[in-house]
Amino acid sequence: MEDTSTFPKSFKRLIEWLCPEQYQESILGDLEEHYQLMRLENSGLRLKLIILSEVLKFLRPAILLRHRKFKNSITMGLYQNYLTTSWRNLKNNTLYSFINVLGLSTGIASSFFIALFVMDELSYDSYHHRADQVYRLVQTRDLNGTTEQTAMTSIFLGTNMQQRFTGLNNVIRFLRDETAVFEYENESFQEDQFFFVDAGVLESFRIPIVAGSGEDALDDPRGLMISQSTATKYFGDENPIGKTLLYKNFGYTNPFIISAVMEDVPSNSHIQYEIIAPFKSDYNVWYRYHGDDYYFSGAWTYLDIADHSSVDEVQSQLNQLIATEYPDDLKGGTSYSFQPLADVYLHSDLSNEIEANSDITYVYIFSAVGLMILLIAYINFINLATARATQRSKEIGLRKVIGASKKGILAQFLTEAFIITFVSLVVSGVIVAVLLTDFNQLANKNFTWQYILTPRYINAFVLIGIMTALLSGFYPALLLSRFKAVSVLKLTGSTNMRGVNMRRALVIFQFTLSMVLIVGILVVSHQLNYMNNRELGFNEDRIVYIPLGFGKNFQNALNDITSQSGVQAVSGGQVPGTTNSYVDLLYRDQTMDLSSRVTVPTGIVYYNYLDILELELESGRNFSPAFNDSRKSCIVNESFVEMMDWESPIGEILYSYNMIGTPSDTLKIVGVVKDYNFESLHNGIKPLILRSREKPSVLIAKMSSEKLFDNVTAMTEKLAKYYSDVPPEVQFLQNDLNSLYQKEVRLANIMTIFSFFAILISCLGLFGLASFTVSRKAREISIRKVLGASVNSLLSLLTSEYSRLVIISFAIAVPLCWFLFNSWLNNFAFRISLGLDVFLWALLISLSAAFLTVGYHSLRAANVNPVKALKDE
Amino acid sequence: MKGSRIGEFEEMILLVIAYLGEAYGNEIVVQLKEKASRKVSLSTVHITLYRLEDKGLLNSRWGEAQEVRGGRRKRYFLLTASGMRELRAIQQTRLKFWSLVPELSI
Repeated sequence: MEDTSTFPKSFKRLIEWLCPEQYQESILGDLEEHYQLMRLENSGLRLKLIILSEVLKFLRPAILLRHRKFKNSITMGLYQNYLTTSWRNLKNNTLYSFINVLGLSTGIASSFFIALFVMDELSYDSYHHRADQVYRLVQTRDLNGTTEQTAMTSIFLGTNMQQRFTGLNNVIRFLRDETAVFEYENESFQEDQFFFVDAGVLESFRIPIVAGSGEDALDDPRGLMISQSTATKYFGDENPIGKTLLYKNFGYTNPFIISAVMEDVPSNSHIQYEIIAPFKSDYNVWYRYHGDDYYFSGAWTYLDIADHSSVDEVQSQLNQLIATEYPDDLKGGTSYSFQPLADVYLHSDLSNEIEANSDITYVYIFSAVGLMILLIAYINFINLATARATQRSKEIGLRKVIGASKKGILAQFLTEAFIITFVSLVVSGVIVAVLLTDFNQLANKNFTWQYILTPRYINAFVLIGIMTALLSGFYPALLLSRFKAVSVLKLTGSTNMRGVNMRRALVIFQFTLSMVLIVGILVVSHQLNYMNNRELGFNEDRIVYIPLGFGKNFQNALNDITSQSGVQAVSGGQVPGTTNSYVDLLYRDQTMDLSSRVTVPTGIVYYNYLDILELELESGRNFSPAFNDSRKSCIVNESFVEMMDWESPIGEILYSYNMIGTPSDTLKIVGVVKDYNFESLHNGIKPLILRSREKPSVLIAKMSSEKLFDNVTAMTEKLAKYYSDVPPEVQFLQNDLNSLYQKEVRLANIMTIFSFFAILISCLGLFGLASFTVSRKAREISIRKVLGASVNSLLSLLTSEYSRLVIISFAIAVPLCWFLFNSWLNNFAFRISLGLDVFLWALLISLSAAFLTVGYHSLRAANVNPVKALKDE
Repeated sequence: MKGSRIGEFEEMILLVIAYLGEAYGNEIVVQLKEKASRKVSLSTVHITLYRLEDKGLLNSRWGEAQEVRGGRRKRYFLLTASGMRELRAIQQTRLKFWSLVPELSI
């Protein structure tokens, strides 16, 4: 317990730090006395707040400015003078100030948005109690020369680790039942974020309990934890603790009793649980039926390792376990590795992830774009400030003559930079406030003001501001403070050339960045277009599908729908486009010899599957009821034949075994289908087996184009009877295929918007810069004009300098882009090649931006009556 | 010079000090609350005291150290001659005007 008998130390320090020395004793004395008085009637937080408000009230200018060093030195007056002159300067040069503030504030707002996005991405899963010590178990299976890494591991492995391993605090398995339905008083919902979880989760992860039992919430096998929003959904205002929620699945109905209500899971968790049941619950059918086999990989396993030195200990125990207890056919190629919990969201792209993860590459790309935008805005500021040096040189000269030091001039210009930055910060704050909802939509995030106004993000914002003022203000201030009073006042003109080369270099840099961004947008959108329009090898138009669960109603549903209007054909089976395809264990040899094992993605399909998707047969025949194909025949794709290196695949036999290792089907290859993209285009086409079955788990239908949506609705109603509680959801294959590239679509959208800002800001800077160049050259232009120069020749004189800079930037940008975007495109198995066209577009856009901004000023200058500029002399 | 150089709150504080002889910050806060039912914060009183000292209407001296103040001394403020004059001047101006206000018949 904190000692409250004396005045809080931190407050005392605050006063000592800020208040003038000569007053400290009386202020602190009075405060302490006041505190002792208040302590009689108040305590705790209330007391603290009362005193804090008293203390803070002392920190007002009337007291702070009584510091001796403020009161009697000239410095104070000087600072005031800096503020006044800076303010006047900014007010008198509205164009300059406007361009600077607009550029900086858009820059700061853009980069703040990006910082928001990036920091949120990086914060995933780091909030857990033992985030540093928790690892996810990754399973690697090396089979037939192909390695597959999965995030799921077997339940039995987890049990063994829990019971026998040393060096582990907790083993936490998450097992999801996506098709669960919960019911309370005749109201039921399907819950796809329902997990069976080991009780250790409460200790290792961070799941704050709002109501009900705390640490032991998962100890009762019939207990259930639900999130706050789930509680409201089922129980409204009632107290959910102790209520019974019916869990329905696989035709069973079982009662759970709510033991605790937990806070809603934060958005930055890679597991978005809504309902949690104890892993050892009697209703966990996976645990009951697959609890002791190593084949069934159905759970995500997280290890809370006691300390980092125990990692090796756990690893060696794992190796030992594999060697001694794993069945022979799993022993060889299986190994496990540990993935830090916080790495899962950004660094993991395995099969069977809980949710599709994000990618660290995107964090890098966005950070780079944010940095580029800031740099471009800084460069504007620097260029405009140095270009204006000539105008300010007389002022600087005079100040120096009167006795200003170099440091004083530096301080003056830094003050100016700070004023502009401050105004820009305020403006960018407004921009952020206005555009927050749009940004949320764009980035698929849900940032709220409560979330942003936490120290973490406020600091980021202030940091960007201070960085802006220093980075953009320092160089011009340094340059200007170096002016020699004599040469400036004698108008020797040498100051005109100061910083010109630096300015050119910065403009080149700016253009290079803009071009990289333009090429970036074009490459990403071309690749997206390519993926969306590529021939996939099947026809996805007007294909809808309905998951039927365990397939027992397939035949009835098929009959119901076949006769419905608007349905052209009905079939069933694996839906192409889903990355996580089902992998089956097949052997070429009846003895189940390891060397003859074939593990490839497998589709369980109905007879007319090939017809409905318009897949083409390369050789052999299609499935047909006439041949009694079900469970006896299979069709393979071309890649499969290639892998097996078969001359004539038709007639070859494959043996299938079920999960517990007993022989099930004998499959004869009856046909070879042409390769088609049954996975997303990130991956190449893998070998594939289609097995004929009477009851696949998914119904697929081809619709006719007229009244498509009405017919789909009618279909939903017709099928409703096969679902006891929740109506089925008919899905369009086209939508699914598009959603495969969500990440890329989001990247393209964000890139486009922010690149647009970047280019806008750099054009703005160029516009300001050009206006200074042209005004400095006004006399030269007029003399040329008097001597007979045409408007055209004057235009080319003025714009040629900038076009030269653009072309130099182009030369730098091309190799840079080539390197950057080729490495990005290498993520895709099917990718566009980088053509010349994107680069030419970038050049064209940059050149025309330069011509437009510079040309505008040049044209005005070239058309002006020469007398106007010359008569001043 | 303007007629009066001080404001109403400053006058109030001068008056408190005038009748107490000398006073320090907390004491004045308490007096204002009891006698004038005005709730003011400590810092407001302090700032006003410093300002009045600047204007030469108050003087200050260090008093005794006290346990309850964490061993710190009190800073007592006393009226200066010009402080007293200022208060009198205000009072007289007021009285002059009051004498001109016609008696109200109720």
